[in-house]
Amino acid sequence: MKDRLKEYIDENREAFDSLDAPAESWDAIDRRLNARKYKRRAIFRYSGIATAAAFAGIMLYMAVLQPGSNAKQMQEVSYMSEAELYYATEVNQKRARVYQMSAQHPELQSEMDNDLAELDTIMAELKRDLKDNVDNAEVVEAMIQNYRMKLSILEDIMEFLEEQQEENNEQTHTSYAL
Amino acid sequence: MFNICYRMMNSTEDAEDMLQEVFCEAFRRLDGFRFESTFGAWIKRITINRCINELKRRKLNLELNEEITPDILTEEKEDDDELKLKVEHIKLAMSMLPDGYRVIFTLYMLEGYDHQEIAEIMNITVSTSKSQLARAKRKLTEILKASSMQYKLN
Repeated sequence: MKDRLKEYIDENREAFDSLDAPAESWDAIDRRLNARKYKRRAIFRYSGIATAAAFAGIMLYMAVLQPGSNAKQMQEVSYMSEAELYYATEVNQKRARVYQMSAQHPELQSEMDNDLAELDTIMAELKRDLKDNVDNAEVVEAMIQNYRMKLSILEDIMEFLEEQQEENNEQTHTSYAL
Repeated sequence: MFNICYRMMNSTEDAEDMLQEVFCEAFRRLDGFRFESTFGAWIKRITINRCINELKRRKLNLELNEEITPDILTEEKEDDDELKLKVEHIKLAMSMLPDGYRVIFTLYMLEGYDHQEIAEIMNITVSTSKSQLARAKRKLTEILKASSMQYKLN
């Protein structure tokens, strides 16, 4: 059945999308995303890496409990141990720094603790769910992602706190100028 | 997406707000995007769902009658052949439709969803979708006629 209206709309479809999003929309979106970043990390980030992190714990488990592995695995293991040492140190240092800086923001501290604890839990759970030998390279990569996630969380919080500090300093100086 | 928001919300201000909400949600849910559809289709679906939820939240009249009136479905007589169709007139007429009609009209005529998909999106039956679309088209045509007559009179 002929639908003149539909035909006309289909023929002129593009003309119905004549509006442009205001230029400041992207800035606004960016601001909103950044404001959420340090608060909601736990929920949104973990879904993507959960599977990857699944293997992460397996690697650590193997590295610790299966010393009789073959040469390639040993290679991965030793690489992982070094990488782990590096990352673990970084995480601890940054965590300490964030604690220092966030004295005025106790809620931030507890959010951070929750976020990091969730990552730790995933690691621990997956260690318990250990199955056969899996591709060690993949596992190592997944573990590194897990650590990078922690570092990313901490760095974002630090950036936020540094910005806050700068703003506070500016305000103080302004008031002196008066 | 902005145009979709505008058509659903019927105001540029609300459309701007919804656009931000939609993209923030899309970024947040990016991890869950599994390529079951194109990225554009995925964002479009988020856009539409968000807009509909917001309209419902504001308790705007999205209630659609479930009654089926077969005569409306068959009543497609083209007595409006003289009606000159223009994009800007149609857009204006759409903005004058009640929310429920406007949403269904938009989803079917502009966004290309079929009645099965509209039924899922709006949580109605397929037959309700069909009858409401027919009503929406009728109402729109009336508005177009009325405004074109006014135009002639002026």
